[in-house]
Amino acid sequence: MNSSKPPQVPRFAEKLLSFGLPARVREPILGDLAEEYLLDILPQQGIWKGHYWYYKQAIRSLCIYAWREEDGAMAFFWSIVSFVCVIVIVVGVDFSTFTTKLSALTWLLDLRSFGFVLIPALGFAWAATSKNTLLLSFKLVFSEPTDISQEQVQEACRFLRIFGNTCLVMGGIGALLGAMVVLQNLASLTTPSKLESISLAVIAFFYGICLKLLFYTAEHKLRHSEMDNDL
Amino acid sequence: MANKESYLGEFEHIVLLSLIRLGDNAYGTSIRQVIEERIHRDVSIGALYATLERLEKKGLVNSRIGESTAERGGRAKRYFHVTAVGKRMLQDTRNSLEIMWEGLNLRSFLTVLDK
Repeated sequence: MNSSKPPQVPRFAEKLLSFGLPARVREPILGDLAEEYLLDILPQQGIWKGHYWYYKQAIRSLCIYAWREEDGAMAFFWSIVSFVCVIVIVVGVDFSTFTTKLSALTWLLDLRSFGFVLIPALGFAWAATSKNTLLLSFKLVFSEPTDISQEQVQEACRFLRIFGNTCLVMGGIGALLGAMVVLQNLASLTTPSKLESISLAVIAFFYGICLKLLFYTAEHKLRHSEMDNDL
Repeated sequence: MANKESYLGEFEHIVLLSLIRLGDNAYGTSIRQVIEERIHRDVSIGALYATLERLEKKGLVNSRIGESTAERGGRAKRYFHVTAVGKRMLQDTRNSLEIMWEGLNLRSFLTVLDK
């Protein structure tokens, strides 16, 4: 029995292209690359050179559309990467001695504060839309929305807007709780456990702002895809 | 005075000529291949589509969605053809280039450089 699979294009490169290319050219470009790869490149040059060829095409094409599509997927990706880099540099580098202090980053990573912001926000956004919209929104941000109607894209945008706004509100509530703890315990503020709880509340506000920024960008990426489909 | 839009860029010129050469079979892969075969220029598919979209915005090219095949992963082809405006622009560019080349002979100049 022959168990060998039929040849396929490099999956990761194809995913990158699906994510980075605007919807109006995604299907013809992926189809053209698949046709040339499977019919010409792979039989003539073999799998390694074939992969090299496909990845070269993918990276060169993505670079071109990254500069052309200001609100597109690549801009979304790079905005997240640059945001994380800025946070790491600001918090993780001691500018007085120009040394890294990665331990300082650990206080920014607090699962309780993250959960305090994210879980209720997810619940509120789900309640305001639907489970299907929730799943569709994440699918649209990270994959190709070619077979999706305008109404579905608009509904996904609404979900992301509610999600982002609720994250911001939950972050604000976290900071408010921190302020309440301060006011109720003015006399014993030096207690380490009290100071820690205030710090966590402020971090919740930080997470709220970060998540709002993330979902705001994701919403605008979907709006851009929607405009692409209109062309 | 002619504005910038009335001129064809070098690559735009090449792409339009490829479309005319391919006739009804001009789509991404075939255009890329004809450019590579004739002038040995390896163009990325993204650069080609970016140029085709620009030409389409200028009204020099039209496109239509064609058939899909299994080796394309079920994805449809996008066929391009040159519009009447595009053909006129090609002819104008050719006329301009021929006027500029008239009476020039680079052969003697290149021979001096080779020495």
